[in-house]
Amino acid sequence: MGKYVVRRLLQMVLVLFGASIILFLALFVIPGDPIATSQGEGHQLDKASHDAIARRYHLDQPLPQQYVGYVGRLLKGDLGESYSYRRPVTTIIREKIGNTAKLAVAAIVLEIALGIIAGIIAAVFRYSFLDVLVTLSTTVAIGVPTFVIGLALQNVFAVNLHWLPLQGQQAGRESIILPAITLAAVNIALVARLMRGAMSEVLRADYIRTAYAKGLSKRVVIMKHALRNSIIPVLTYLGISFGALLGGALITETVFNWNGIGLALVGAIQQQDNPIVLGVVTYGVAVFVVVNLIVDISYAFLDPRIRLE
Amino acid sequence: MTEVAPTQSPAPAGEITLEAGAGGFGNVENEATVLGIRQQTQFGDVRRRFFRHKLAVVGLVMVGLVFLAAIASPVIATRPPKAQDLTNTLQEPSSAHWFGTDELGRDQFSRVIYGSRIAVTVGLASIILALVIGVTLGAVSGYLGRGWDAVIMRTADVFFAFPLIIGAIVVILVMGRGVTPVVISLGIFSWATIARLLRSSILSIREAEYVEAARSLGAGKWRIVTRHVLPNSMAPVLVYAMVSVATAIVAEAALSYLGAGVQPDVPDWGNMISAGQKFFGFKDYLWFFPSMAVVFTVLGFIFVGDGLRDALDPRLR
Amino acid sequence: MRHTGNSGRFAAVALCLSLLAAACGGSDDDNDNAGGQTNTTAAATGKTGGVFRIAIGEPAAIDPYNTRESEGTNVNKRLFVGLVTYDGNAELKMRPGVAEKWSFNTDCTQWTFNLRKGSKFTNGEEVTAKSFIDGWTRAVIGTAASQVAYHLTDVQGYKELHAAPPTATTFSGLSAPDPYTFVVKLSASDCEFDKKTGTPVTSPVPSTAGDAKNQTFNEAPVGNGQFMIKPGTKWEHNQKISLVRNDGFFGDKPKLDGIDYTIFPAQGRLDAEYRAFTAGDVDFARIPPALFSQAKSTYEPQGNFLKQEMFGINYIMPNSAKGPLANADARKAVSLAIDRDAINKGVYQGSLTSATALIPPPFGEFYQASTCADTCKYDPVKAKEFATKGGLTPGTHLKLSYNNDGGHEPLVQAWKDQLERNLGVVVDLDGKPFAEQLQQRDKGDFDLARAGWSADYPTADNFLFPLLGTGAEDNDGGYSNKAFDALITKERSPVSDSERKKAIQDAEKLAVGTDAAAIPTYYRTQYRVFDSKKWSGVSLDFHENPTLGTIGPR
Repeated sequence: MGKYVVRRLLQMVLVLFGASIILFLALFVIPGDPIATSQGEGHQLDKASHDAIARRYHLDQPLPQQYVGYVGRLLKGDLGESYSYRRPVTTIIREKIGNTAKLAVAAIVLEIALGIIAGIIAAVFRYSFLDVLVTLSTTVAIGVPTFVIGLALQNVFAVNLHWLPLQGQQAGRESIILPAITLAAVNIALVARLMRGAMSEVLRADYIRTAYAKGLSKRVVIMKHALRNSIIPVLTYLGISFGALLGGALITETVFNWNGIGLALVGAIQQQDNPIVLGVVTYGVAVFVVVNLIVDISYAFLDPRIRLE
Repeated sequence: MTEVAPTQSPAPAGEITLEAGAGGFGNVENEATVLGIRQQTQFGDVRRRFFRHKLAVVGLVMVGLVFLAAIASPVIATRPPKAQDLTNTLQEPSSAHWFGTDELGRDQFSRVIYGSRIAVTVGLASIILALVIGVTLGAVSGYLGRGWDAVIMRTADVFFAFPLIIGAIVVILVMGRGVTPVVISLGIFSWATIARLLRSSILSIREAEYVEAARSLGAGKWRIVTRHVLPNSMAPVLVYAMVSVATAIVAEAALSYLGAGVQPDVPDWGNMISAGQKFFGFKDYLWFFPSMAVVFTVLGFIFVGDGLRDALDPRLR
Repeated sequence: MRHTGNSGRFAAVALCLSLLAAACGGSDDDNDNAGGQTNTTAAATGKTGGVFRIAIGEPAAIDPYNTRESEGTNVNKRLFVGLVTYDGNAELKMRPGVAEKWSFNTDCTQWTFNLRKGSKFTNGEEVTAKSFIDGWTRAVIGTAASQVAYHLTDVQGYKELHAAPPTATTFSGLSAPDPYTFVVKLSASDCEFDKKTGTPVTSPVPSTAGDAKNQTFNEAPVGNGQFMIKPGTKWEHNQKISLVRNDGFFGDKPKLDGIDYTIFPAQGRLDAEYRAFTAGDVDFARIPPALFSQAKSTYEPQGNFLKQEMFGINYIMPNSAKGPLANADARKAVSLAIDRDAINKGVYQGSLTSATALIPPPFGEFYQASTCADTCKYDPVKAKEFATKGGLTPGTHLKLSYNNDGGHEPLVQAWKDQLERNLGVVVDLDGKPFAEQLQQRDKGDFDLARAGWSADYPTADNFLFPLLGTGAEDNDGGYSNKAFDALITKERSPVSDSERKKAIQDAEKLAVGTDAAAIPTYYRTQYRVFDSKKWSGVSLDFHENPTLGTIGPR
């Protein structure tokens, strides 16, 4: 077990290194001068100012040295300084991560509640009207792009019914409802499908028949025996998806003007604010990889049949 | 990032289901293979099962219609997609303009029809690219193993860790907007799952009895790989690829929506949604019709993918 | 000087006015209102009180050392007053700020500013010549890596101080013979240097400011302006900035008790800002172009709709130096093939004003509506004739360069369509982010370029020489005409006002009318919505920000 964890940790570091090199190289070869871009529409800079700014951001160094410096600072938890705002990227991420996390938590709650319930219903009442409804709606949900779901929800609930705010966070608690549904929609569908599949398989198992034979009620059999045995793949998926959610939701945050790190990333890409792009993507990849690892390890604890090699 | 959801979630989901089934796949017809019975029998079964699947047939019709729109755009469209009419801007849908006109007076119906060309091109080309890379590397990794395997799989891990949209945006920043950059960017961030799938599929089939049998009959390594291992390991990959076409079409629309896709004057669904959103709340037909076009196309591919999966491995239902 | 890439201003700079060099020496004439900076009579009668709420994007900086775009300038100009000011002026006169009067030597290389006594920072410290030396040094020193230090390039010692790493720690060109005399020595003659001394980067700072990396000062700068950061608060990043009135201000007291800036995410801000106004969350907003008709029909009848012509021009820059448009008739063909009014009506809901001159209407007596009236209109038949005459044959490829981060797609697509239809040419759109587009233009790698220009200094000269003078920095079209250059030289020399005016007008006629070296398209008309029942004295200042110094409750 210990050996496995160590090996996975090493792999993770490798992945992070690889990702950071790819990103770093890509950002470096993007055409255009980030210093000029961060200048906005102001006067084109004189050479002295350009040099002074380049020096501040270590852009005067050769690429390998820049990379080594970047990794060195990264290991100390320093993601550098934004070109546009001249503030530490870690501070900017910290300010926005709260909003992203709120949205991620709201979405995962919806995924768990709606996805698992729909999946159980579909599995228990297999081939019934309810099952067909769940299967059909989840299939459709998977096919609708996030931004279309967002626009449709905005149109119905904000523009036409005036029940909920259109976008932003000014309106307080209810502002989160539409973006959370948008963000969760596809995953609710996928969770429901997974749950249905896993549950159906378990319900055919011998021990379930045994449980019924013992005279246990349907409710007890499903909630106690079947659920426990079929939920592991669903939990795995939920874990991984939460990792992805925490990395920021580019499109949902854009559609709803939600002030999280996804929106910060979109803005930084437009302004060629490379430290923010690098920082947010590195952070997103790191969270994703770490959560994956945690899921894999806890998977082993949950299911003793899995042996780690 | 959850947009990963439309774009990437089919990946993990596909993986879980497919990998579970992949191990057993070889068994279904393996006796036939060993006995030298033609592959057609296998494909015949698959075809029969596929066409029994109602949704799959519906999906096939939908995809067919999209292809038809793409091929016959000039015939179906009522006007050239870029023709402007500044005296008729922002017209509501009418008999003259079925889907209305945009801010430059261009006919939205014609643009939606022409938009299918970009969707189909990007969807297919990017996945073919991903297949070429993924199948090559997956086969090398699965069959040669050892050092090759480690290097390729760790590289795959790196690409897998990038959310598709973000990885693609970075590539497009480097290459500039356009159809080719979009195809390339989506391709190089989609191969990792294909390589993984193929590798694990090969690993299980390599040890299967019928391969063992072929080997004992004296078949060469090359023959074993090309005649036995690859054909039998490709099934999950092909199902995944079919769903990935849908993913790529969504991703392309999302990229254009974010302003990082094809050039802005190209009739493209993502571009149209992005431009129409400015008039949100009072000219909603501008984003509605192109959105429906995306949904229609994506659902078509997903239905076909579902049907294909069930047909290839009936035990997965 | 600046090219504008967006409809909204993401621009720094801009300050200063004063009409011409000759006005500098005579600036004492303007000093009859010695106590204050602005004297808007209407404002003098208004009530005081109220907190004005505005939506802005996250500023890049409000600390004067690096204030550069419109968001930061909006806040910074409330907090600081420099040597001179024209902030809040509608009539374009440079006025005394902390400097009561100023003078310069014969070759314009030494400037002496006489500062008013007793003006204070909000922490009680007096504003003296040292405050300016501190402020300028702090901004220019290389380690600060300021993006706006270039305004002071011509001050002696700039090179040494601004080097990376700096080879000096003091700004050798600045001195203070006494606390109320500030002397600036220039390394090159600049007879309009005083115009630059109203930019944020030339603000005075108190001795507590520290260097550019002092985060406390970055986030809650202590200034000498009409407002100050609400005591006990600081810039809450991505949330808000709250200002209150500075009762110790030396000039005209503002009427507002305070200003609340709500910070919105930059993406989709225009929409968010307008929606916040309709929901009553802010008192003032810009209008998203798509919503223009709606906004106009809703708010104009209520008197809540503000329309103002600003100091800017949108035009097409043809490549006059090389390629198919090196011929003036070919350029005229382009101008005649474009239907400005149809695009305005169809695409922009009539919110623009078609232009027939490069120097825009707010310049009053300099403005000549007839500059290119005969070619700045839509006439496809004449366009075809000019094309034939100018050798612009059907099938010719024209590369149209534009910046793709400013929402100009519909505009350039309409141009492309009209040019292709009326002239038979092939237009290749080439969209790039703004900074890249500037580089491309610099290299002359285009045939046509969408261009916008807003003046740093609102002089008519600023609309001619930088864009069309031989070898001028922003003359990317490469136009060169000796007669034009001679008229500019004349206009810049000490001549009578009427002669200057004539020279400027002749120069514009020649370059824009006869040579079509710039193809004007639209003037810079700005619109805002605000609640006129609640507020009076609302208009736009030179930076296109609300005139917060004169706004008061009704």
